Amino acid sequence: MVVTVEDVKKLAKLSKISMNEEELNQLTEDMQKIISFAHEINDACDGEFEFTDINNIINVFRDDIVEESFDRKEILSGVNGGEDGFFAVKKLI
Amino acid sequence: MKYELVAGLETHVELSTKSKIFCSCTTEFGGQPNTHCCPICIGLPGTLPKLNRSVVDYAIKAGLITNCTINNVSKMDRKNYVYPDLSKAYQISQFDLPICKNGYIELSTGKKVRINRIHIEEDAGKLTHRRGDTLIDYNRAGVPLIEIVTEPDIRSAEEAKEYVEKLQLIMRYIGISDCKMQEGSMRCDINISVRPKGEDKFGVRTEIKNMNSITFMAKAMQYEFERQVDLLESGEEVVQETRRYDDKTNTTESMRGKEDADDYRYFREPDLITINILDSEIEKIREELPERPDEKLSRYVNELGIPEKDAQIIVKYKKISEYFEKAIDGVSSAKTISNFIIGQAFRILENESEKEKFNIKVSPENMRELALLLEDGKIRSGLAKSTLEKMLDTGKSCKEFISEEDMGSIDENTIKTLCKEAVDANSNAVKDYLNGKEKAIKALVGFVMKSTKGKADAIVVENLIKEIIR
Repeated sequence: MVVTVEDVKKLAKLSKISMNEEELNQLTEDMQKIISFAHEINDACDGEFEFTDINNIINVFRDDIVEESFDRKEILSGVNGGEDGFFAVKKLI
Repeated sequence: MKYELVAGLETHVELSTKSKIFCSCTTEFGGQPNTHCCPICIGLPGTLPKLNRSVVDYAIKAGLITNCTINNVSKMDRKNYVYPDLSKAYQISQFDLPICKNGYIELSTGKKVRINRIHIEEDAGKLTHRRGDTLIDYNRAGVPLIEIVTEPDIRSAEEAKEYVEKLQLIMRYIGISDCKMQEGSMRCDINISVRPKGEDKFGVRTEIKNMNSITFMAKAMQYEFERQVDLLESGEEVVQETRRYDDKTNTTESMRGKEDADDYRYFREPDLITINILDSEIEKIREELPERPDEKLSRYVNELGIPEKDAQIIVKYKKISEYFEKAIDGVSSAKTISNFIIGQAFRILENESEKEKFNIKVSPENMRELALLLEDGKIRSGLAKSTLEKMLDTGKSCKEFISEEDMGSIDENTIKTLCKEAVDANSNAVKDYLNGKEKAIKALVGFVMKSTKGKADAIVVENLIKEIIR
């Protein structure tokens, strides 16, 4: 797979990062190296092996049983500026 | 130029499992903010999700009732997006291997609205925007959803409305959701475009998000159709974007440009392993499926002889149809029961929600007992109706209100005597009748019915009185 300047522009837009021409070119080159490396690793697998099903484990489910939730104090304990039992963040959109 | 509307629907249905999809917090609606939460559903690092078995079973049920194929192998994927309603910055959903695919729902015209897929996913938290802040309640985060995605087969707001109503009804019948749009347990996104009639190619579409009422959905579609046609007519282009419907102004407005599916960077959820569904499990669930509402309707009409309008009302409410089926057991005319329900019981049910609950004081067995008395000719329909009204008020059985004496038949001579009495005692009514006032006879019949406590046959009485007067 070839990484183009257009790909990087799109990624930059999605990531809301502004970039000049020089940075774009540099990053395109870097991204190409990263992708090539990932391909190399991919090629090392024989294609039949599924990493996700190690030991052939499938269908690990839990039964539909309700257990007590956490105390709200604990839920909000890591929060700066929680308000009236809510998490509060700066308005995003 | 004539334009045609093309629409596809994505419907989110909240499943009525007891616990959330990946943790054991309750799914109960409401509650104080952030009290139905644990480290898994608020997305703390290092926590591991574990899939609720019932969510998979419910999705299979939804798939089978909508004629879908069930994928034997299915998996979960991460859908990445940054918004505080999900603190993980991704939603665990399904991308290329949903539980169900390729189904349809048939509309009353016989047209099939094809279902592309049904997948399972977690719901997000609820945001409240206030001043410069956003307040977050994660009680809803992790509540299981299925998303039912149609092909762009819908051609009018009416078709969309019927599709959603049918979907709502069958999901309630199989008991996987209460589908209450006003509480958000069912919500629709509409993808909508227009094209000149006869054209095969689709136009550029917009998406209207989170419709939580069928009426508003139909209005939004109509507005959006007209807006897009106006744009094309004036030589402008429709921009692919997400729009919001404002029910106060009945218009739609742009929310944001629609991101491509790829922008979500879907990839396999590494914390959850493959879901394998055996054919034997699918068959077991298929066997347990209840009769479909449309099958029930046709059985009521064709086998039980219920007028279609009445049958539709009974089928529309799951609780009522269950009651109805218990009550008709052993009764030779099911119509007696449907008349009791729609005639008398409906009078005390004031709104839709009461009809849905159908919490009446009369048991199906007691209603059946009354119907049998009527069928055996032991009582007349007037007495049956008034008795049922008393039963609905008190919850007592019909035997409490109907005496042995009421049930005895009256011989014709007694009736004749009573008719003569009626004529003698109501000379004005007789005069009116003879002067051409047809309705006056009713007063005379009423007199006899009253003195026989409704046991006499009103038609026989009317004929006897006419004979006497002549």
